[in-house]
Amino acid sequence: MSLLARFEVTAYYGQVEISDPNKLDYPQFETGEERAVAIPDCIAVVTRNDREGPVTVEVWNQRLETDNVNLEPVYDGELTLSEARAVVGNTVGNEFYSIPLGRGRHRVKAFTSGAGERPEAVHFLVD
Amino acid sequence: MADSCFLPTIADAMDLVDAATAVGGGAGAAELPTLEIDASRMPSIASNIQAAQDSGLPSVLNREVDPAAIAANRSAACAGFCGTGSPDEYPFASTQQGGAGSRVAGVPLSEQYIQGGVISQFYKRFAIGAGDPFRVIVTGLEGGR
Repeated sequence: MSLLARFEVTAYYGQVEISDPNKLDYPQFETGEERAVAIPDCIAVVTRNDREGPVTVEVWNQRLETDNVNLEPVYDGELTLSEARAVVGNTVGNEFYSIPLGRGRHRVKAFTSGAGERPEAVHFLVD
Repeated sequence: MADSCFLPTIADAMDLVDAATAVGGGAGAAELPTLEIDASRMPSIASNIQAAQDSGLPSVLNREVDPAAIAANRSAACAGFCGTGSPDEYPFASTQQGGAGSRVAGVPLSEQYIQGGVISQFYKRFAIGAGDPFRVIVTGLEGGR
């Protein structure tokens, strides 16, 4: 298994999320200096903002393959899904894409790439 | 988990929601979900919103959910922005009142990340859908708001 999906997301407020589509909560930034924040059913990752162009979001399963891309690890934890899918996108922009994943808990690692602290891409690796 | 990640408990999350949203006051105000912008956490954004509301821009907004309309609002609002910092507009681009005529100010990115989290949580927790009204208030500004 490898790449499940790739989308381009307009990242209002410089963030994209992977979340349970049925849960009504969102993780909070304490200082604004975090690279990612999470609650059990949603992970939000800091990116460049909408004015700088779309953000590429990839979801990989079990193995992440990127050639000549410097990946910055920003999150390693879990995501709990109440049904057999997650959504990727941006709540403020009301832009979401569905990803088929198994119901229950998943180990998730998130990486960013491109432009240092203003990433152009987010790569989620889901077990 | 990476050191940079913040993973609050459910109780923490509920406290944050309560702090961010459970605000009312005045006839009819309690009937609307209220988004509180805390100046202690987002001073530049709070100042911009307060100045916008003081200038006559509305405090009650209606959610816009069409991605194309949101993008158009954002472009129209920020078209003339040439200041420093990241442009932040009020009324929000994700509302029907957003777009041309919004007040725009350059704010630190850190504040924008915080605000994005607060608004996203608010929209989700109160299931703010297409056209749904909500109130925006600023708290914590010097001078007592």
